[in-house]
Amino acid sequence: MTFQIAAPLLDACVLAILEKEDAYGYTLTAQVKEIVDISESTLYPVLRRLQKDNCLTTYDQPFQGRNRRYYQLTDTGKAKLSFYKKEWESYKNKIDTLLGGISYE
Amino acid sequence: MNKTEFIKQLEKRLKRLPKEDREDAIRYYEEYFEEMGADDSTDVTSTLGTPDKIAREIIATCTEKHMDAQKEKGGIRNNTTVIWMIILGICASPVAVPLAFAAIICLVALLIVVFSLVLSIACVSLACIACGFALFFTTIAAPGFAQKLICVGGGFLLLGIGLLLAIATIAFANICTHGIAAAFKHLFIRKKVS
Repeated sequence: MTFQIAAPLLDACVLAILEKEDAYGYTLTAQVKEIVDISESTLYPVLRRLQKDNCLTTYDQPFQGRNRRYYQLTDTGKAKLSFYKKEWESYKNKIDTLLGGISYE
Repeated sequence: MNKTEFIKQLEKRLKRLPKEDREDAIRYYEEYFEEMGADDSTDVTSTLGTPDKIAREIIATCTEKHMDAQKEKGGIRNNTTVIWMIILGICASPVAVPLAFAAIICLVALLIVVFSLVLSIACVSLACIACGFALFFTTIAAPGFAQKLICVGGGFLLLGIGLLLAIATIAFANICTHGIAAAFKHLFIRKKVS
């Protein structure tokens, strides 16, 4: 992959995945990995940080005699995601204008 | 490295973190290994990276979190947790070994400087004493009474300066060796902790 993913964009991706449905660490990593090139260990610090910022909460659900820790979007997280979406839209448009010659005005 | 060893290593590196942060991280990776279907013969470092690298990332996030929390409470003064985390971060980072090496080199350099300084002062002091005695002997060869007096007086003066310098050298050497010994001790005791 040519383009590096920056921390806010990775946060946005994680939040967007969790907007659809709650997920646990492993599947979340797998889903992000499908889109962007990250290592398996990248997500834990990201999740921890989002948790600290009150964007996510966790709950445990039993699975085959152990617990899976699911991550869930909070209202703060939802607000953050819509902020990221807006930011991304304007950023994307600017880059598109430059690269693709498409004018949105 | 299999998962059991990995978790053990990670736990060791996160020892100084608050219990809650450490347990959360360990829990996350234990679950992750379960989901991966890793058994005892699976090398988990090839997919995840080394426990060192992962511990570094966790410590960094954790330090940030605690600093933010402390800022909200007002000021990061007197916060041992944050200070510990920063020290831990430095020790976990790849610069730790070169840093310790540099510290030892600096101390050795200091030792050499102090040693040469002491040696040179001692030389001056000895030279003064020697010249003082030499002047006493020249008294015999000195032509007149006044000249003899100058030689004797000069001799005493040089002897006095020489002795004072000798006393100063010994005191200075004492202070320096104690100081450097303490510094070395400090360095190695801290190394043991990490």
